[in-house]
Amino acid sequence: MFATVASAVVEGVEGHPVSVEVHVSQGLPGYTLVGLPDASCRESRDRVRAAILSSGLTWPNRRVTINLAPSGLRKQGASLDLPIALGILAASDQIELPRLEPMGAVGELGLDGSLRPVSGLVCMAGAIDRPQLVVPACGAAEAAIVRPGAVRSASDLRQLVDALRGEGPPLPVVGPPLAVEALIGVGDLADVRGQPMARWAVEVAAAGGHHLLMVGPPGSGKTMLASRLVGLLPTLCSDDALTVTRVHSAAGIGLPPCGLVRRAPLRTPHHTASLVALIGGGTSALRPGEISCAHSGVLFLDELGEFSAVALDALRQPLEEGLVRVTRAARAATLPARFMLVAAMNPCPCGEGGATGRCRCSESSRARYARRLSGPLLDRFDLRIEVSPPAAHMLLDGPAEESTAEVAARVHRVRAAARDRGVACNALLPPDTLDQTAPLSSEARAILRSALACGQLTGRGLTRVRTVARTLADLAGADEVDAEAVSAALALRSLPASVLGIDR
Amino acid sequence: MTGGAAGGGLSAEAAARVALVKLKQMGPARASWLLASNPAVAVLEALAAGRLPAVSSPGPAGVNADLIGAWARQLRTPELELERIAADLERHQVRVLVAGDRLWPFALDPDPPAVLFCRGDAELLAGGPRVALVGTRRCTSVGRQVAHRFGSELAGAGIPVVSGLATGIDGAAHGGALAANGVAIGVVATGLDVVYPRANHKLWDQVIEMGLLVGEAPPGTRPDRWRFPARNRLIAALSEVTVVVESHARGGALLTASEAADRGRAVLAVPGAVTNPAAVGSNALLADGCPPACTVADIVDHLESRPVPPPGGRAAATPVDLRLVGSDTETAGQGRSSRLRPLILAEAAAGDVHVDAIVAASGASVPEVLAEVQRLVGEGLIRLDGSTITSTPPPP
Repeated sequence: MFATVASAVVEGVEGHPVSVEVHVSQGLPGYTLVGLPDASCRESRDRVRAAILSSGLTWPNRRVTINLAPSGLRKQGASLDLPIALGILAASDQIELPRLEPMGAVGELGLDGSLRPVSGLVCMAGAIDRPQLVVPACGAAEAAIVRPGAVRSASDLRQLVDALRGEGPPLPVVGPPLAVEALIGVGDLADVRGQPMARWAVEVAAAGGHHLLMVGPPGSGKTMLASRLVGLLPTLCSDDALTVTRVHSAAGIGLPPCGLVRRAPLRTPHHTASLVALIGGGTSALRPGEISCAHSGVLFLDELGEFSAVALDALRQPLEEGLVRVTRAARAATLPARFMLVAAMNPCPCGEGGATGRCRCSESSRARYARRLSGPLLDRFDLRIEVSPPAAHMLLDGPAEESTAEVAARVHRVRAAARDRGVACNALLPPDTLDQTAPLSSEARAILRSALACGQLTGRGLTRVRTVARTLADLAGADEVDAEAVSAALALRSLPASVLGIDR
Repeated sequence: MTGGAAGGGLSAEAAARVALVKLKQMGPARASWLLASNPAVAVLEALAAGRLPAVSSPGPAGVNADLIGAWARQLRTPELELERIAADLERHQVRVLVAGDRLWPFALDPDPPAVLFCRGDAELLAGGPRVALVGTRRCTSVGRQVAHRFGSELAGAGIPVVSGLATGIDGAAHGGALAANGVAIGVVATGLDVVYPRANHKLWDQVIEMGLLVGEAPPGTRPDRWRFPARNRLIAALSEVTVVVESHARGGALLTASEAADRGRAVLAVPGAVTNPAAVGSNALLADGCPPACTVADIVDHLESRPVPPPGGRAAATPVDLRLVGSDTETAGQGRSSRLRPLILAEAAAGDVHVDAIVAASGASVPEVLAEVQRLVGEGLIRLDGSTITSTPPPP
């Protein structure tokens, strides 16, 4: 007897449809699984057998052959347990084949027959084109985002089989996702006291999506500033939200209860993260890395000087293109990676900077530390600031600072202006349109001309300065980019001496 | 080691001295001790025979039979042949001065070097009085500026500036002297062909080209730690006045000062801010009674022989000018920018200042302050590194 069940697997952030074909025939009892399953997929035999027996059903004592089509695509993970079990049951006449026709199934089976959640449901759901989709109850909301109304959830194999046979209640339909979840775990900007330059740089970075580099001694508040930056960003539009949800689902990151990721994500990889963990890839599933999980959000690299040079270099291409192409010998995947880069670093290995009397580093170790940051990566940062520790009296007795809500109002206004120009944020403005979108006053033009002439700016730097100046003009409510905006943008681009490796 | 006069103008005594200092483990102290009662030729003959020459005192520690044996063996190698030495010096364009030469500057010195190697214009040693500007490698930007300014004003007044070509104060002093097209004399601890620190190699070349580079170590000598205190005594010995610009509580500059005091030379110190850790040593010198050097006039007053002042008279003492003349290209934001401008310049003149401090002091918004800072940078009055403002561009 022969049965086919529709299912899917994830590669990168794309779901690929998989057809599970089961053939049960006369012959010595045996079990063969073909179609390039990986190790956990091959282990499905024992799981499925135990699950079927635990559910009070019969394991066919004949020759069972299972093919995971298309046979050229590698199948990984345990998500094919459920379709295999259903296929075996159908092929051994324990459920009626026509009942399986309109259904797709995805899920891992426990030995007791329970259905376990799998990662990447959002991607898989989009790849199965049957009218109904059965998924494990836990995490079913993910699938409902993509296929509203088609998703049925089941908590164990017995419940599913009873529903298919008509002997039990029908499976519950999973509803569409709920409202946006509250922003938790992100501090308020009012907590940052007495650091006007840093606060303002965070506001500019959030408003225009510009990459930000903070250099400062330990304890000066760089990490605090970065986490509050995310709180300033507006909620994601539905396209971005769907992309981010797919990426997070494929990466196995838990999704919010409503199923859809609506807040800009903040990813903080540790500096020991491997290249693959950061960029994406891996041998089996081409999983999204941290930069993809930070798509439409913020990638915060704390202790930039501690990251391996290889990993930092690998960031340059995604920063340029907004996506990362992961290729292996047989397969390739394109993962989204349009993120805002925020980095924090100490001015020197001991952290105290070039300040005389406190820095314990030798000149050569300071120079070596500065060299780790390659020129091209440094060039990607449009805003480079030094964070100085706040004065003690400001921490305790200083005036109240603006809260996240107050600053976010300005940030959202600038983001809206950018959307009117056709981009998600000012940092993405195409260079050739700058004359229309960011017209310069004659004074501003003169300032830029002299900066170019004295070598302070390269051509690339010029474009970046103009986009930052556009954000500054938006914050000031001006249409034209004036001299003050351009001057401040140039000042924001100046490099700290410690990063240049020179003694001030 | 053959005797007799060598070709190329190198006398036998000079060549012998060069060979002597080329011996391994032969530092200035041991060389001086051996040469105290013997000409170098005799010393080499004795060492080659495996014994010490006639010496009048026990001498420094560590000179034992093994060492003498090693020296004897080294003297037999071809490198220490007279012709090889002369050719080697020729190749590095190094001139050798020994006691008795016309240009020898250490005639009455209690602890002269065995040999003085020179690159550049050795005639500069025959000029008038020289001033040493010394200080710490880890200096503040204010110290750097002062060293640069003093170096340039002294050199502009015709006074050669002597220093150690190290990073920090020394480099700034020489930079200033060269910028004023004056005379810079660099005293180094390495061989004259071994640039140390590497970062200063351009300065090194400029000093050779426009001034004089001297040292007591033969070409090829690496920067051994122990050679630097020895070098400092030469800086003191070559200068009539020694000025300590900035020094930490312990530092080579203080050693140079004490060597100068031992030789009866004047020692001055530049007063530093009491909050500046790099001024602790130089301020301590002031507490001990050294006269302060606030302007170049203070320094020149201590020279016993007056140099010929340049046309236009002695350089007047001027504090760092605030250049309050507003730029006429700016029309926008007149009121606030005219308040910010002198504030930024004044704060920057006092030392490195962070943008936050300007914002706090002026009450202006961050973009206003940044815009004014950038304008001042464009005019060349201040420098912005990241978020820190410094007064004038530091010397190269």
